[in-house]
Amino acid sequence: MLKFIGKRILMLIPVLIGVSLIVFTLMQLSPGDPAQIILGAQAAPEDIANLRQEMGLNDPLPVQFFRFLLGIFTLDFGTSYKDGLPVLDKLLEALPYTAELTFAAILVALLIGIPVGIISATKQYSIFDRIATVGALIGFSTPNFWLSIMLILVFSVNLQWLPVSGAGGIEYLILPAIALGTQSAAVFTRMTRSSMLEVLHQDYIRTARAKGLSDRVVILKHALKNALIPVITVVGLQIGLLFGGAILTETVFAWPGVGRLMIDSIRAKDTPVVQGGVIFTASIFVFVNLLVDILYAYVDPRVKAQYKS
Amino acid sequence: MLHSSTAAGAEARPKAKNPLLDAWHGLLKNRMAVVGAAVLLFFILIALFAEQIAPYPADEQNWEHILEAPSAAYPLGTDSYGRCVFSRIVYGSRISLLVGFIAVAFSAIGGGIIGACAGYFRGPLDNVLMRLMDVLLAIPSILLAIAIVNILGPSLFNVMVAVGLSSMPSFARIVRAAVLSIRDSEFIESAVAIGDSTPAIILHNILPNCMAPIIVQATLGVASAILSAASLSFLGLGLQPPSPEWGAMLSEGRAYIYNAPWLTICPGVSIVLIVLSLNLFGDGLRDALDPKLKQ
Repeated sequence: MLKFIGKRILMLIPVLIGVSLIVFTLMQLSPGDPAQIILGAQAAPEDIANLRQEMGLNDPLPVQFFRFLLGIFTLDFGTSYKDGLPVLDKLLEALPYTAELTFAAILVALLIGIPVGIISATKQYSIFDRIATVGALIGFSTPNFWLSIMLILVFSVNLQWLPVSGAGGIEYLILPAIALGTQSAAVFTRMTRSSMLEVLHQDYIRTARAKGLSDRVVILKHALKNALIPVITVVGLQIGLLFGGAILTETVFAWPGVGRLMIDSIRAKDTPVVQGGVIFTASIFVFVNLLVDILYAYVDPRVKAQYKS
Repeated sequence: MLHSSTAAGAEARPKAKNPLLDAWHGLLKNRMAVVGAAVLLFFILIALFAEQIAPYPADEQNWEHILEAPSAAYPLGTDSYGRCVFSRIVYGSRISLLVGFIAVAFSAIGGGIIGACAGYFRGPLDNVLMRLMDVLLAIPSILLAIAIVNILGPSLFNVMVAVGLSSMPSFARIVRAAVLSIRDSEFIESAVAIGDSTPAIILHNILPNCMAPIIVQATLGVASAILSAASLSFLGLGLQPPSPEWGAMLSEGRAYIYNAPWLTICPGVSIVLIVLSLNLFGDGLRDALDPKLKQ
């Protein structure tokens, strides 16, 4: 098991270096001179030249990339062009908000997706199953930014139950979490349903039923445990996708998370914050996937057995 | 060409079934897929005949009819410039379909070539290409698309490139898996033995035989490409106003959510319908083309 975890952690390093290389290349290609952006349009050419020298922008590209990479591995993402604050501080300040939103969205998705998926599978081709299947497809096809606006329209503008935007108590979290979680809820519903259907047709379930166990016990104790294994992998993928999707939800709800910080920074041409944000988000994505792989190995004895010998 | 591997066995079985015809019948039996195809066709027709269908040009402003609710003259109301929302949505369908199909064509060709090479040659080339794809997959696709558009600048073409690039890795993976599963088949071996060149083998023997997963992924890919493009425009990074792109229309309409909700409802419903139709059709195609799923 330790060998498996160690191997997976080592595999992260090339991926993170690759992500850094891509981000670095993209930023090199982006128009605009950083020194010019910092000093403004009226800056004297000598000042710009001096700042370029100071920032190491005249060094060969491989040197600049190496410095950039070194910074990332020592958690130094540079400073913002806009206010001179360290990028890491800005990201860490926004992270709890995005984490809170993502966590709430996953919770919403699981609370809807798994029960609906189970009921759909146990009552296959029933009216409930059909409605759930179509509902999941609609949920999957709905862009979260539009759903955000529609939720605001109904619950904030018309019913006036919940605040339109901002962050604060739980009442601020409800709409963004539903908006962000709906697509994942659809994915979980479909996953749970198909995986449950597969399990329900297996021999050991028939044995359990033959023993005279009640439907409830068979489904919740025997079938669910195995049916949820594939769902776990998808949960990991969804957490990563939600971190990306949160960019849109955060923009609509003025939620002060990493996504909104990045969009604001793109508009302000604050390159260090943008590149830091991309690397930061990608790192979280791969780390969550690593955790899921480990968890997967833990719950699926077949994976564990491979690494035991 | 498609059935070269089964030709030898055909005489043993009296009536060999045509797998494509089989898939077609399966698709027709799937009610959801047929509904999806019909809605999709409806949008394609709207896009093709936009000039005939739209009562007004997309950007005709009428200052006497600002923010009017839906009426006989303006079926879906007007926006803050007095433009007909219905006409804009009709013209906008062109943009969405164009972006969706071209972006997917771009990523299917690019990802297909990468995946086919990786799967066919295996070894170090496979390793390098697939690790590169892993790296691209590590960046959430909307984030990658944002980063690319940020550099290239907002335009129709750049949105297609950004969305296409960000979905390339999934094509590469699917094609690679498909190629790996058939590259050791006897009919490939015989093509090698006859002396066919490698590109010819990949193009004529391998790719036609892994079309099924590519077609399915492409259909579902158009759906997510349309969503991504609308997201980019919504964030102000894609097509810019006054373009009648649905995401851009939504973004413009947000300011009037209190007094003109149709400005946000209508483009959103259009996005959901077109994406839903593609997903329904794609799901049906997958069920029809994948014999493993057929009971």
